[in-house]
Amino acid sequence: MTRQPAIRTENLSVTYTGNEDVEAVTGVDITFPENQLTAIIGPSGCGKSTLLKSLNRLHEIQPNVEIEGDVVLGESSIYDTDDPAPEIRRRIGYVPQTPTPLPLSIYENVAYGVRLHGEYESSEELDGIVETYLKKVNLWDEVHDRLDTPAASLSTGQIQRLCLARSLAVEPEVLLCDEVTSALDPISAERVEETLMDLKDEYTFIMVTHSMNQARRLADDVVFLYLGEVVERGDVESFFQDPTHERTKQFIGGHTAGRGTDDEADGAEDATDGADSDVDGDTTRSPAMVEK
Amino acid sequence: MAESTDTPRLGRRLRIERVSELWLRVAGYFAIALFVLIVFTLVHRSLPLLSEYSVVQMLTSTDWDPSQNSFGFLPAIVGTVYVAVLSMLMGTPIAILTAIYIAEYAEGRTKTLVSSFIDVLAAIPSVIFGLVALVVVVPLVGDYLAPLFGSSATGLGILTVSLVMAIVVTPFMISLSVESLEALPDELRETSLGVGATKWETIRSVLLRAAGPGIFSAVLLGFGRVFGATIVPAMLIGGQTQMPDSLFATGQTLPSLIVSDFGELMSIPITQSALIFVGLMLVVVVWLFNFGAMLLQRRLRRRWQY
Amino acid sequence: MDRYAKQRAFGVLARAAAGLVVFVMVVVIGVTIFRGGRVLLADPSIVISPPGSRYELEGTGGFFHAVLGSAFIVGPATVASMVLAISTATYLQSDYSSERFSDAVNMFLNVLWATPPIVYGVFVLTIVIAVGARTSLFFGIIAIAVFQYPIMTRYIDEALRSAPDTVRESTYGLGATRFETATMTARAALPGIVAGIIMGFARGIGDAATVLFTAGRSTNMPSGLFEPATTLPVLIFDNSMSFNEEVQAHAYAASFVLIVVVLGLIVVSRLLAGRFAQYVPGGRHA
Repeated sequence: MTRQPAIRTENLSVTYTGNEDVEAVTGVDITFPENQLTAIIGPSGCGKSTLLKSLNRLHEIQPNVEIEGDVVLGESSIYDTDDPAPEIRRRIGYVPQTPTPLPLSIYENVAYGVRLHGEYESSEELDGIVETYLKKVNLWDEVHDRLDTPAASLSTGQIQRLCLARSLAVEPEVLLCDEVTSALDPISAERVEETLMDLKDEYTFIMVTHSMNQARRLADDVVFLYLGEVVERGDVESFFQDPTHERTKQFIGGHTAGRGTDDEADGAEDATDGADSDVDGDTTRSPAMVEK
Repeated sequence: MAESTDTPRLGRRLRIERVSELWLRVAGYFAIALFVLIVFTLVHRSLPLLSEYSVVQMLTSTDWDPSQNSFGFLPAIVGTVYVAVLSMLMGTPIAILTAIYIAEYAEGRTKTLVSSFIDVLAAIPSVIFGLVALVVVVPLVGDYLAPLFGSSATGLGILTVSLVMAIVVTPFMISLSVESLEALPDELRETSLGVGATKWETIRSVLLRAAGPGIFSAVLLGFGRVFGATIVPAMLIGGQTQMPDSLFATGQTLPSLIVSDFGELMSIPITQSALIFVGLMLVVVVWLFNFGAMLLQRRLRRRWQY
Repeated sequence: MDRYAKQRAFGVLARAAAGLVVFVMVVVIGVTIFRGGRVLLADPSIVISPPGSRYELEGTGGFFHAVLGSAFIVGPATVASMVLAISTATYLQSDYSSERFSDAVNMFLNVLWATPPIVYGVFVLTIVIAVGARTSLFFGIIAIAVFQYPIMTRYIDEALRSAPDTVRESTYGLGATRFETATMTARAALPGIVAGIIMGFARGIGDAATVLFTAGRSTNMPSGLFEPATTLPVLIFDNSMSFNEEVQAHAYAASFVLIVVVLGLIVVSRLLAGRFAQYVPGGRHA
């Protein structure tokens, strides 16, 4: 198992300026290994999305956001660089939570990024690229006969897989997935997860998720973010079976019971209100934590 | 993974980005520049007149005779005010009632149909209203209404213009009022009806009060519209720059003054300046109404947080 | 009157008001179509015939010069205005400018929208005089373009604002530049943008007050960019006050044409909005 870092952060902090300064992410040092799926978990509003977006400078499209520290892709920083942001984002892609088709046909959706960056030589090559990636996300059989119809006519689950194909067609080094199954029904979510499982050895995925079970199912590594700080990180087995920190134990304990279908009830831990009052209390106490 | 970048292509995209940013920035400031330019031009060109004659004197004199360099704007001002007030008196109740009908009573197909009719009415050019009025309203007023009141008017005049302007401005006020009413949360209606109020009582005490600022600003904007109307008065007011002595009298409005006396007179600098000054007056009044309406809208939004 | 009687009375009143408004609309459109249609049925060629030598006095020939004048003025004006409007509206989005700036500009745009058309006419006229030129087609185009600009910009700004943020995020996330993303956002907002352009076009076509002062008046076919021209609304305005029956008849016929065009534009706008909606993320909205 290669554990070379594909991308890592160095003492990264993200602050939302405005009426008051809110530090969403504080002093985060993580390495994300190559060709693995790393899940970022944590309670709502603790900065997961903010952290994710800072990995490809996506937060820069909003005003009032400040960064300290650095993010390093391979050997070079993505902040302290001459490369323009569009170039960075070609190498580090982002898939949002809401399945969003571009107002184009199915074919053009997948081809969009490829055309943008000019990564093809002929229209035959482009056809091939579109076919390859639609196959990778298991959409080809469903849509190959209607590639020129508007992408918006697909079902939500299909759209999200299309979004994955679209992002992958650009051949990024890293793909950031922001709760990509949260907006889907269980069956569609399952298909997207299947796709991610198929692909996770080929690409470096960094995935934000609010579902512990999803993290368990898909991830190779897990990072637990709490109130903008990394509490614990480790490979998925040791993380869930033998967490080191108290907070991690509380978080996992409160969230394992009663979630998802294939669940082992770890000893009637309906303790979301009981032993986890700390976690919940802290969570609700952070109104200033702006997730997005 | 693909690492190499197609640098010429990226370079070109970045150049497009830079150039487009420049152009978009210019476009962004264009609106402000246009506004400033209009104000500046109108003021600058009014100066010849203003530097020679007293503003107060011109605004209160009833003698409009440019050939004699006599610039009394009062008849036109009075005419404009008469028309504006009359049309609003006639149009506002109809507009509010219709808006209430659309927002609170109409349903489904009827509602879409009536709304579409309003939209169509709002899109009809005012010159067509003028033409139809010549054939329908003028005879009505001249042959039937005026004799009723003992007047021997021709049918062209203040009343006719007001009637037609009421029709022209109403659809606009209806659309805005409907918007205000429909923006109100359903809970408002539910609460009122829930304590046993009738629909009418709900509308009167609750909804109108809540949508009040929005409707009032619609009225202000309508007022501004009537004030600035050119074509309908030019066609129907009779074009006599004199003080109107009755509703049926002919008269003049500020815009129709510009229309009727423009032409050869524009070649004489001082008259030019006078007519531009009329334009300036118009624009100032209308803009004041608009700022008022906007302030009201802002207060409405703050109060009800839409 | 008891409460429920008041309630019923009010209901009747509201319905009556709405009925009155609809009635008026029917009358206006009806009279135009009827009278205009009658004239056109008798002699449809006047729409495409140039005016004769004594047009002003006797209405010889047709009013094709006004048809062309309208097309030649409002067409280019709409194009110019549209380019500027989309550009301004794009700059007002959050990618390019701050909220304070866009609020301020929108305020100016609202004020410009409410400006009486005659003011635009006078404004351009002063420029004409200042440069020592004549009123002509060219200045008519400029005046109409300036008149349409605030209307279109506000519509397009609303349309762009309502485009879903996730489209922006997704497009940026693929490594697009700000301009490329703006293009995609515009595509997502296309129905609203088209509606705005058509609204602007419709108002431009129906305007007389602005063109009156800037394009000159002409009873000849439009002969050049810097020659005077007339448009359908100005023709109607001029002809309606004539005492000659033939001339007046032309006014009705022209009104017929104008109303058909305006109504047609409204229908087209609705249809186009519906057709583009299938591409918009989120599918069809009303």
